[in-house]
Amino acid sequence: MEEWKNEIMNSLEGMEKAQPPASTFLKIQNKISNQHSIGQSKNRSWLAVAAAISLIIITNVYFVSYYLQKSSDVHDEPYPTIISSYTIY
Amino acid sequence: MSDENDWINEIAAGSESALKKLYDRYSVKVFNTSISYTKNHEDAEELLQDVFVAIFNTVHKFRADASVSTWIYRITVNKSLDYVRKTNATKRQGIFTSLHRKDSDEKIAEPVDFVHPGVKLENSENSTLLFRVIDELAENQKTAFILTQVEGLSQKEVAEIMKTSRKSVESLLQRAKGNLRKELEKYYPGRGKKS
Repeated sequence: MEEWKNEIMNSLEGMEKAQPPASTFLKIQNKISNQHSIGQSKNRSWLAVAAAISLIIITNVYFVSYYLQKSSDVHDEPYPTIISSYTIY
Repeated sequence: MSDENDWINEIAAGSESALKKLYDRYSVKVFNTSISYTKNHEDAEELLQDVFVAIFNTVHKFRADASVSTWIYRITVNKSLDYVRKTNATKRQGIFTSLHRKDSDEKIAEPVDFVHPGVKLENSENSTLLFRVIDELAENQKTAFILTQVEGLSQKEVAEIMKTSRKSVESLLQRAKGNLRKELEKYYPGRGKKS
């Protein structure tokens, strides 16, 4: 058994180096350029998200302030008189 | 090597032609190290790509206290071990799923016998068995064995890559060889093949 084990253990002797596929460096270049464009598009999408959030906040502030102003206008008005004369005929 | 340090500076400035020079020098080493872990040509190529993308992205972190070679081997070993961990986790998940879905026809991918493309034809069967038992080793024993016995690096170089002492590498290597011989007994003809 020991001889058999030695044979297995020595089976890598004289091994040659395996060659990677020729197109691999091109794939690496593509990955690098893709990650640049992904980074840029990520920045762009963050800007879009920030713009949308700002728009929602500004619109809400505008409508709330408009509503408050309107309701204060209503309270400032005197009660409308329903009857102008209390004289009984 | 001073030209390698120049290439590193150029890569840090965004030069892909300097990356190509580094690739031409190290791609075969990275590919061969990776394939010993992945035991699969396609995944080893994927790791080769990942290693060089990582080199391009993290080159500014490279400190000259280690050699370029040590740094590249370190990235390769880390990426390869991550790959092995991920593959093992997927296998475990597959087994767990199959236990709970007995009616499912889905098959779990069985490991295919790996023949290293550089191995001599007459040794292909024996080396397949050797790579199968290498898989059973603990991570640090496996790394010490692959880098010294498959890649042919010196114990000193491996110690630098693994950030340990040469004595530790020697001890890891002895334990790895002992464990491999012990594991091989299960496959000895006449004792029945392990399923």
